[in-house]
Amino acid sequence: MKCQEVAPEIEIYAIGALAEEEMSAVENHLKTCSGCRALLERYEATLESLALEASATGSLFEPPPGHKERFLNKLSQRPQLRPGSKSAEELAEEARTRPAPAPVRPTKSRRGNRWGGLGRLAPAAFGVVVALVLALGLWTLNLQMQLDQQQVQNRTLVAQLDQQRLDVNGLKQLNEQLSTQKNELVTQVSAISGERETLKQQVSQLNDVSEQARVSQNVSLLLTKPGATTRTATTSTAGVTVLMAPDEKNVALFAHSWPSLKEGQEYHVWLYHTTGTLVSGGTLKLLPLPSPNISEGFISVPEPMTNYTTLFITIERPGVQTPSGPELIRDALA
Amino acid sequence: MEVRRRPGIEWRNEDTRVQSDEELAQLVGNGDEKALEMLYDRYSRQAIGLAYRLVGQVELAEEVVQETFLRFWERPDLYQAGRGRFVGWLLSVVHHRAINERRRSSFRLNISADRVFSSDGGNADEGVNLLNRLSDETPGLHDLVWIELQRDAVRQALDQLSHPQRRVIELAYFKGLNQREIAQELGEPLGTIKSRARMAMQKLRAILTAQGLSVNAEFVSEGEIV
Repeated sequence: MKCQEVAPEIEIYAIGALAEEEMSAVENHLKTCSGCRALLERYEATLESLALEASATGSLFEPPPGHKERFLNKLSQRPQLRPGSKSAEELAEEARTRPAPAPVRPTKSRRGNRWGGLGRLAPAAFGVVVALVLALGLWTLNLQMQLDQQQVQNRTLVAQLDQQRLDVNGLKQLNEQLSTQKNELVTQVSAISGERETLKQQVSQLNDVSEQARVSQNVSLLLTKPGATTRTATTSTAGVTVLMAPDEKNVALFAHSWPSLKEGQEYHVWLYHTTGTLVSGGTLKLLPLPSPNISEGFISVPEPMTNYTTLFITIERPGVQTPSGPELIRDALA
Repeated sequence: MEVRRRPGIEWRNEDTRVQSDEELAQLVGNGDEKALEMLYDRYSRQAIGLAYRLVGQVELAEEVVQETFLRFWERPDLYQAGRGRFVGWLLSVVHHRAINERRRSSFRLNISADRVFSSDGGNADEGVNLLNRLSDETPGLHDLVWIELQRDAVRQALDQLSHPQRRVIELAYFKGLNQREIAQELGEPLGTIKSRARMAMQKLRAILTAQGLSVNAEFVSEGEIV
């Protein structure tokens, strides 16, 4: 079959109204066509709801004797087909490469001579030359001394500069240390802040669990009361199941698909007394259940439940004395 | 470490916690035979009752249901908890298998209600008090509440269909007739039955979605036909 042929048959297939050969043909197509399968899956939840309703009389069914034993016998012969569990892949350690230290090259120093010998001069000029030489020598010596002095000063300046460089490096290191410490402190503050949030969440969860336990215990207590009963009412948008006992003032309510409350709103329970008087059943705090869209709550009413004829729930602002908000659902208790 | 107890815990008494269907289904996924047995205890009765309505033979109905449970045992991944409740999935699969079996067998239904259904309960509408059904072998109260709310919503949704549309759903889904048998039963053309079934299902889905019951309606996966 092709998609054009299967698509118009999806609803008919879904409710099981196809003949055997048509059903097989559609199923063969569905095995390989994700598009048509998606069309069918749109009805998945609807079909599950229909199956629940179709099985409603099943709880009154008398199963054939020995069915459980036959089931357990079959079960013992059927191994569970478990997909092979994959072993966790080990991660290879990253090889750490370290660059070889660079060879240190020795530095070489060179020195050279600067002085030569003296020639012989004529006696007349000898004195002048000697004087000139002496003067030149003295001047040279003076210059040499100045140069030596300058070199000493230079070395002192270089030493001072080196010292200052050392100081700057020291300051840089100190700055880096301070920066690292600051980052560590910021990390620690962030971690503490995260832990505080986690603790707050845990406290909130513990409060929820405590409240849940309280409601669950109240529900189990109600279940043991004589004449305990449930009533279910639904509208097109919401549902409620009321668990109550005739002589009890406590009532458990299971809410289904109720609209979410906005800031400053609450669910409020109201009851009509047998005398016709309207009575407040108080605020209903709901706790979520694992079932989708279902939550439960517990209220205490002024008199035993036999004294009331109708229960209804509205969405209100805190502190109201009479119902003024939209009504969610109503159930005649009788 | 998870220190929080899941909300929705139920208590039969102060010491015994009732495990939800979904928790048991998860244990089946871990190879826990006892968990499968508990689920069988909870739902085999109504599942066999459902299959019997469609196949008309008790032995065949038992076979259909047990094969569904055994298939779930072999392939626990066929049920995906995120897509809905276990009981809805289970009964939906039982219905599908029962229809297949009915088509294959081509027998005539001969249901003896007196013989098969016990006389101490009445019909489904009279079973509103869930506590009558609460026993060691049934699901916990929360699961029963969910099932009852679901059934009530489906009844109301069916009531919103036109009478001819509702009749097609009843004859097809609840009685297991195929479209030709329905056309014959109602004395109407096959094409009319087809379009009526299509419209009925689309409307039903729209109503249930509006009620928040078809929460996973748009879910698409590499699903397997069980």
